[in-house]
This record gives sequence, structure tokens and C-alpha cells, in this order.
Amino acid sequence: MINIITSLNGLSLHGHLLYYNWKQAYIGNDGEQKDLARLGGR
Amino acid sequence: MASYPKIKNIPIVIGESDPEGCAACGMATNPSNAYRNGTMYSSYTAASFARKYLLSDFSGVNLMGAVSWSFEFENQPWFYGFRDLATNGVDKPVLNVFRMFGKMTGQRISATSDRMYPLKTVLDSSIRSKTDIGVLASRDSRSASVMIWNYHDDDEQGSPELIKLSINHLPAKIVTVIHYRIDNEHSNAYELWKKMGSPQQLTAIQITELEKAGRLQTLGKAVKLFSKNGSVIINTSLPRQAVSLVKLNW
Repeated sequence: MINIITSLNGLSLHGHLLYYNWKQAYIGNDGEQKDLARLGGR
Repeated sequence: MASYPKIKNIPIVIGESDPEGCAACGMATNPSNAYRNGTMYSSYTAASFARKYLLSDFSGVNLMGAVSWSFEFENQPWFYGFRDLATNGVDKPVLNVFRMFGKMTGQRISATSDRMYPLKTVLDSSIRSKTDIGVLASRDSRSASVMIWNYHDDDEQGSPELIKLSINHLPAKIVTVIHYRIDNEHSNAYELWKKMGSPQQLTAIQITELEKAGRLQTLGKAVKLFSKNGSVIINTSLPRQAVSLVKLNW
């Protein structure tokens, strides 16, 4: 059994900007599939 | 950079983040690049991108982001082993890791796993003994996200590991849990394509089936859980090369 633990009142770490950028680049504000389809190239 | 106060806080963007050498080399010339089609690439991406945060913490620098240095190749064979996130418009498993990352809103928070390799070991000798069962977590005002992966440098399948995930200090008594999964049975168009006989001439129906199989999928339906003293425990199993994202909403 592998134990994995996180606490929501725990240490906040730098990193939210990376998620923000990923969301903008890959997901977009106007719908996941629409933007992601452009990555496929077909 | 951290040793120079003037530039210590300048945001760093890793402009070309990739695992190896030649993006445009397919399996015909580089058979080992077949790993890019399946769950080796997705689990590697989870394990390695998480280490960028840890390396940033360790170095005391301001990591802003990273660009997956992968490309788009027009008019090429299906699942040819290029470093791309989709093949002929069908999403590969690795793309679903980025979909998972995109769902991890809010602020990164600390999380531990007793089977996660220390950063120094990964830097010194990579992941060559037991598999790396690691974790990356974030929280927002109304949600929390926990990504877990099971990665090893050898491209082999393996039996699932039992996982006990504890999430503490929840601010709500009832949470909705959605469990996203990338493995051989979920979010994986490559495995379906192989079951089809690895065709290069596909029917419209086959393409539709692959497009559906390539999307990010859940491990069952969303469930509601009651927290006990602010905690929930989620037991699951994680096959080698699988990635999970457990998302809690309240």
C-alpha cells in the first residue's frame, strides 16, 4: 500500500502560473475541444 | 540565477522542454521512439514536469512555465512515433496529461508519497529501481486536485500498485470526487488502434472511435463523499505507466 497525503491548509508553493499558462495554451477560454482540435492537424 | 539578486525573480520559461533528441524521427529509423505513442510518454511527462517545480523550489528561482517541445506532422502514417501530441487528428495519451494539468486550478500545495523518488535521486540516477509513484497537488477556493503517476524508465507494463490517498483539512463536509485516468483502458487511442490491427487505411467509423478513445476519460462516475474531521481517504490501484487525476469539488 502506497500512502499519499496532502493537506489543504498546508504549505502553498509557487506554481499557479504554470497551470494558468497551460490552460490558456491548450484549453482556451472558449471550449476545450475547439482549441485542442487544432493540435491534431487533420 | 538565484545567486544574482537582480535577476533572481525574473520569470523562467523553459522554451524547449522535451525528453530526448529527434522529434521528427519515427519508429522506422528509431524503434525506441515507439514509446511516444503510448503510456510511457504520458507517465514520463507527469513525472518530469512535476520535478520542474521541485527543481524550482530547490534552486530558489521563479519558474513561470514550460513548453512541451512537440510538433505537428502533416500527412504522415498513424502512430508513427513522432514527438507529437496527436496523430492524424487523434489525441495520444500524452495530450491527456496536459488536459489534466489544465484542470489543476489554483495554487500548488505540498503533497507527499512514500514511493516518490527524491529530486536528487532523479537528477543523479533517474528512475531505475522501483517505479516512481509521485504526486502533485493544487487547491482552489472550491476544489482540490491531486495528480498521481506510476513511472519507470524501462518501457514495460506491470501489475497495479495499491494507493491510499488522504486529503486533509477540507473546508466542506460533502465533496464530489471525479477520478480521471490515463492507462491502457482509459484515455488511450493507441491501445484501441492496436486492437484494430494497427491499420494505416482507416474507415470513418474507426476514426470516430479513435477520436473518442483519445479523449480524457474518467475511472467510473463522479461520487459524493462525506469528509470525516475534514478528511477523505480514497483507495485506488494504479498500473505501471498510469496517471490519475483526482479532483474534488465542493
